[in-house]
Amino acid sequence: MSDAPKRPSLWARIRNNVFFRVALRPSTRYSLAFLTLGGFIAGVAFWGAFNTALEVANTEQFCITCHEMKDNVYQELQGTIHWTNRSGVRATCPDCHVPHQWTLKIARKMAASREVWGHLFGIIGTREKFLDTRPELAAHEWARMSANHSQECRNCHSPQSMNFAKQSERAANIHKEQLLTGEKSCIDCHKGIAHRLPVNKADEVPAFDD
Amino acid sequence: MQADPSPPSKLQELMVFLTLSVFIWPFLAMAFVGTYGFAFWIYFLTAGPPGPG
Ligand code: HEC
Ligand code: HEC
Ligand code: HEC
Repeated sequence: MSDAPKRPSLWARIRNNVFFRVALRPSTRYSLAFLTLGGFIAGVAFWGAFNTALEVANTEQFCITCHEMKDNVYQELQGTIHWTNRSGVRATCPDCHVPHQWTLKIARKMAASREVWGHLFGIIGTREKFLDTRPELAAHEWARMSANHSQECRNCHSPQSMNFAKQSERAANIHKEQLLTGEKSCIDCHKGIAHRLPVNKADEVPAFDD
Repeated sequence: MQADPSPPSKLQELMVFLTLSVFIWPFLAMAFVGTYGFAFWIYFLTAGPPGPG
C-alpha cells in the first residue's frame, strides 16, 4: 500500500491537462491581433444574443406561452381599456410587470425561475388553483407597485401631464389632492384595472352567482 | 514549473481558442449575470421590494 506511486494533486492534474496547458500559456501560432479580434467578435455576438433573448422573454407572446397566463389573466386583459382604447396604445404584460432598470429587470427574470418551477409542478395549473392563489399573487404585485410608486404605470402615464380640465371632477379632485402631493400612487387606488380582482372565498355570496 | 513537454500544435491552439470564446466565457458571463440577478432577488425577498427611482 504505502509504496504505491503517489497520485499527483488535483491542481497538478488540472495544470497538466492538455486543455489547460494550451489555454494558460501564450499562443505560439496566433498573433495578439488575431486573438483580440476573435475575442471582440465573440463578445459582440454574445451581447447581441443576450439582448435578443432578453427582449424575446419580454414580450406578451412569451408570457402567454404558459397556459396559466393565457387562460386566465390574458383573457381578462382583453376586456379592459389597456387592450383597446381610442388612442390605440396597447399595454402588454411586460409594460406593467417588468421593470426597465437593468438590475431590477435581471432580478425579475431570475425570480421567474420560481414561476418555471410552479409551471412544472402545476401550482396554478387549473382555474380553481389559480383563483385560490390569486389573492397572494395580486398582493405581491400591489406591494411591488406601491413600493416603487407605480413606476410601471408612470412609464406611460405622467401625473404632471394630466389635463385636469379634461378629467371628471371626481378624478381631478382626488388626483390633485392625493396623487400630485405624492401621498399615493396609481396602484393605491386603481387596483384591478387589467385583470379581475381576487375574490376572497369568505366574501363570496353564492346567491349572486349567475 | 516543469519543462514544457512540447509546444502545442496550431490545431490544438485553435480548438482551445474556440472552446474558450464560444463556450467557456459566454457560460461564465451568463453564470455571473444570473448570480447577480439572483442575489438581488433574494435581497428584495428579505428587504422588501425596491422603492421608486
Ligand atoms: C403601455 C402604456 C401604459 C401602461 C404601462 C399603463 N397604462 Fe393605463 N392607459 C394607457 C392608455 C393608452 C390608456 C387609454 C387612454 C385613452 O385613450 O383614454 C390608459 C388608460 C388608463 C386608465 C383610464 C381608464 C378609463 O376608463 O378611462 C386608467 C385608470 C389607467 N390607465 C391606469 C393605469 C395603471 C394603474 C397602470 C399601472 C398598473 C397603467 N395604467 C399602466 C396606457 C398605459
Ligand atoms: C388617491 C387615489 C388615486 C390615485 C393615487 C390615482 N387615481 Fe386615478 N382616479 C381616482 C379616482 C377616484 C378616479 C375616478 C374614477 C371614477 O370616477 O370612476 C380616477 C380616475 C382616473 C382616470 C380616468 C379619468 C377620468 O376623467 O375619469 C385615469 C386615466 C386615472 N385615474 C389614472 C391614474 C393614474 C395613471 C394614476 C397614477 C399616476 C392615478 N390615476 C392615481 C383615484 C386615484
Ligand atoms: C395595465 C397594466 C397591466 C397589464 C397590461 C397586465 N397586468 Fe397583470 N397585473 C396588473 C396589476 C395592477 C396587478 C395586481 C392585481 C390587480 O390589481 O388586478 C396584476 C396582477 C397580475 C397577476 C397576479 C394575479 C392577479 O390576477 O392578480 C398576474 C399573474 C398577471 N398580472 C399577469 C399578467 C399577464 C400575463 C399579462 C399580459 C397578458 C398582464 N398581467 C398584463 C397590471 C397589468
